[in-house]
Amino acid sequence: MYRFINILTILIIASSHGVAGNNTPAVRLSINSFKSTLSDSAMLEKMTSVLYRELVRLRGEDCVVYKNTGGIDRSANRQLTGSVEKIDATYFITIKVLDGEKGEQIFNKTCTAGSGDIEKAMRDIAGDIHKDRRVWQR
Amino acid sequence: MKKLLAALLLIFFPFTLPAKDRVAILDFQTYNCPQSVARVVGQMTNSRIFETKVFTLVEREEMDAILREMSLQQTGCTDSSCAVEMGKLLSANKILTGTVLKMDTFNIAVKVINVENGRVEGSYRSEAMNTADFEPAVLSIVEKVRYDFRNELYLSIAVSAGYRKALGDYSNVAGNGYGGSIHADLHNFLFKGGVLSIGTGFFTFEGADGAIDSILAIPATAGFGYSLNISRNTHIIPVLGAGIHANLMNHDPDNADQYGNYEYTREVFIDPVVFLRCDVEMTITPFVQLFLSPSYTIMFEKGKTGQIPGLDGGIRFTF
Repeated sequence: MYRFINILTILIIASSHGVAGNNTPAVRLSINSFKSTLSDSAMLEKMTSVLYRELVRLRGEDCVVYKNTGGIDRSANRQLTGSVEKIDATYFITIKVLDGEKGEQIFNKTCTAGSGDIEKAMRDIAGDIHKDRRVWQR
Repeated sequence: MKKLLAALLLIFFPFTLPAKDRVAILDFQTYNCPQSVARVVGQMTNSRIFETKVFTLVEREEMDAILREMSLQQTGCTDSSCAVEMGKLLSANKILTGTVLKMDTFNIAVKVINVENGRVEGSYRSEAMNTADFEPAVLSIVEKVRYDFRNELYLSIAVSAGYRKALGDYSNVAGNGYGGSIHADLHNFLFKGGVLSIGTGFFTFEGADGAIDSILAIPATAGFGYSLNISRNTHIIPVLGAGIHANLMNHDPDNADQYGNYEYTREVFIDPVVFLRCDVEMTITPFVQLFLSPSYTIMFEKGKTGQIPGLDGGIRFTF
């Protein structure tokens, strides 16, 4: 009987150690540079940064990658792409998250913003991405 | 609600949920207006179609780039069979194209093309007076696309009022009947176009003679049908089914007394029925349809057979 309890204890400790030691996130989201016909690249960069910072704040650094060097981060299994257009005084912002393994869109949102509330719009979108279970579950 | 319905059906009928079409949305073309307008309308359409969950959207351009890079650099995936496998992952059944033409107003046109045979399966138009109208214009197109390409299981509730006429042996006890019905229909059941219909209602029949005051018939039926598209706005759904009629008869089994008076008592007869009905529907909006439904019911009661032709008119709400 005691032997059985000892073995059970060892198994429980071993399994909990295994869980605690596995710190690799199941999903990593890579933020890619936004596309636009706008010539204001500084603004696009700023929008991307706001989104990145907010997602890092919500999810942690391990889950979000942003390399401002172009190309695709292969270590990430989620790819975030964005597109920004301006018509008259309104900015139309579209953010997509793609499943890098299946090639499917798993998040897609288009919103509009004036020049004064673009940062708020980006933070709202980051909140939506944070809440969307499809993005963070494999 | 929808998830619960899908989960229940997946448990009981694991083959009822067909796979979604994989759709690639190409960049919209623009005529007589800036490219940014086409990009905005295209992205807006993409987002709205994504929200409908009718299709699995494949990101062709960007995913091609991602997969190209992965296939070149990923260990163990440098051979052609792996690339083919990745290509299969990306493969789309349908392609959605769009154009934005600026005349006095913005004319938005969207086409859904079947990749396998190149056929245009849907063509949609909408108009926007200005940029503020893009959203409703895109929404109206997306709702039509959603309606036409819905493959997943969905529910509709139909309420109707109707007339019934008792014929055959049933005409010995009942005459004309009036009442209402309610049907819950599951569309795309088992296969695209399949309809599982469950219904109930009430019909009050007048008695055939003085000994029968009235009959309240409460049907409980289930049937299976198929939705046929006659035109974009018109559908015909023939449904064949069976069930029971609970007939609550208010009658005097001893007939009139010597003064010609009746003493009515209520008696319940449960009778099996088979029925054929044909819903002829006209779409008002993707969520609301009006329909007329002629029907023919055969009722069995202790070796006797009654026929009940009927006509219903009503409204259907699609969820």
